[in-house]
Amino acid sequence: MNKNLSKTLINNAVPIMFIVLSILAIPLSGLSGTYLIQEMLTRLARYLFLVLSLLIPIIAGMGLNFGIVLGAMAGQIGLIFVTDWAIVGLSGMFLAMIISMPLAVLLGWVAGIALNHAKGREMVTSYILGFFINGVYQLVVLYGMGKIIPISSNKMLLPRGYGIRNAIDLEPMRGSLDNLIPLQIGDIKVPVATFLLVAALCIFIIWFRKTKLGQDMRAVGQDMEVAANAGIPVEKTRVISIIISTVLACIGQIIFLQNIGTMNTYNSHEQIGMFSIAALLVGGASVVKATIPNAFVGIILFHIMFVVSPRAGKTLVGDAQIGEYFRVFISYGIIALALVLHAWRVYKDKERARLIFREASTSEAKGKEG
Amino acid sequence: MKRNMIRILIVIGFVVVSFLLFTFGKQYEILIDNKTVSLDGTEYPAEYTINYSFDGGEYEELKIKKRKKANVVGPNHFITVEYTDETGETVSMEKPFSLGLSEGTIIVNLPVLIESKDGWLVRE
Repeated sequence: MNKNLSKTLINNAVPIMFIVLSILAIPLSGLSGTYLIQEMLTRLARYLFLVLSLLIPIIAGMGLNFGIVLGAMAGQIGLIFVTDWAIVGLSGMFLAMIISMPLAVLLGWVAGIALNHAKGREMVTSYILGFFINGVYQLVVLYGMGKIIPISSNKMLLPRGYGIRNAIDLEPMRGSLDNLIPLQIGDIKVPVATFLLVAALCIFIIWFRKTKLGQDMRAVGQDMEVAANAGIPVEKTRVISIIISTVLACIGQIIFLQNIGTMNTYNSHEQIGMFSIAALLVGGASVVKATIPNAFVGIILFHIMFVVSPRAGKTLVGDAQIGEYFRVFISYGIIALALVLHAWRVYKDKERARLIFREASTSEAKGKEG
Repeated sequence: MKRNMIRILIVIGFVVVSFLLFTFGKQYEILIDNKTVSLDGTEYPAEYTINYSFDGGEYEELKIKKRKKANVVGPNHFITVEYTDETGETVSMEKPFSLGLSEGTIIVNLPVLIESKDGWLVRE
């Protein structure tokens, strides 16, 4: 009983720590329940698609895909084009998705190939790959657009005549999905259409896990050698999982930016991987196991800290900046702890398995001698 | 074979949807002028303060010698104008127009429009 309880506590250490911190910080912040619920609904709508895009590579045993920034960059390129062509509202959003999807597939394929060459080190490889593709993205957007790739709107170009400006106003597209089906409960606005889209993605993930490809991914995730012996094309399956993740991230970034209403051309995508992964880990996921509820719980807990910590800091020490500092310090510290705990658990499991194997071998040898 | 057919159909579907989204989601900037304008040797003087609206939206007032900007989305629209003439009678008229996939600035000359002459919609 005690062993089970301690195991549950260890397995859920990160969400428990965040819940405790939230319980302490919410009253200190003095923020109303309505405000917090509204903020959480907005942030769930903003981030859910991105966080859920991480699930499929985890099924395939590829860990947390830091490479979702590749999809985010593809999404942003789509948004640059539709803004230049003055396609607004929902039409602009969906056109941006269609334009950027082939690019996301291509980038996902490149990432998948690269990760197949770095088996066992997928996370760090995808993280570095993000930096590499970011360089290519900056080259294209800063020097190619307006020079090689035609951009007609002078409002978007830098004064020198080529390269895209730092910020792109997405006001004509802002909230086009969130406000598509208006629903207001008291003072709380619910972005129904965005949640319906997220619900569709959740259903897709649940359905996908049951398909032949989904089962193959699970088999590959558990043991690549066994999966290969069973006739599953391991490398192809892994590439497909990364492609799906990148395409979903591309759509997620477009949903994220239509909610924000401004695109920071050179920075909007950079933090997406880190924030999404942090939220998923805070929700109780690990490198090898993540579920849809982990995404929901993670976003709520992670973003409650975002909202309440500056105010709590101000109440406690009279400076909002201190609260923000502690949020960054504690949040990312806990995430680092989650990764360390996971590595330690894997190491201990291996050690235990070795011990059991050794004991079994010894007793077998003794049995033979006897 | 069947698989390739499905793939081709999906691509065609995406192209068609993209075209529709492009056509019906495109925003046009329209400049509305209430200034004296010369067209084919005929002068159309700006004489009245005119109220206008696009696609049944809210009316905007445009005084003589002034210009305003409006944004419309999609290819087909109508403009409604209202003004009070020198006899004190309120005149109202509605004109449909199509923008196609035109690029550049679109100008609506209200003095020409209220005379019901061609050339009230100019693309520059």
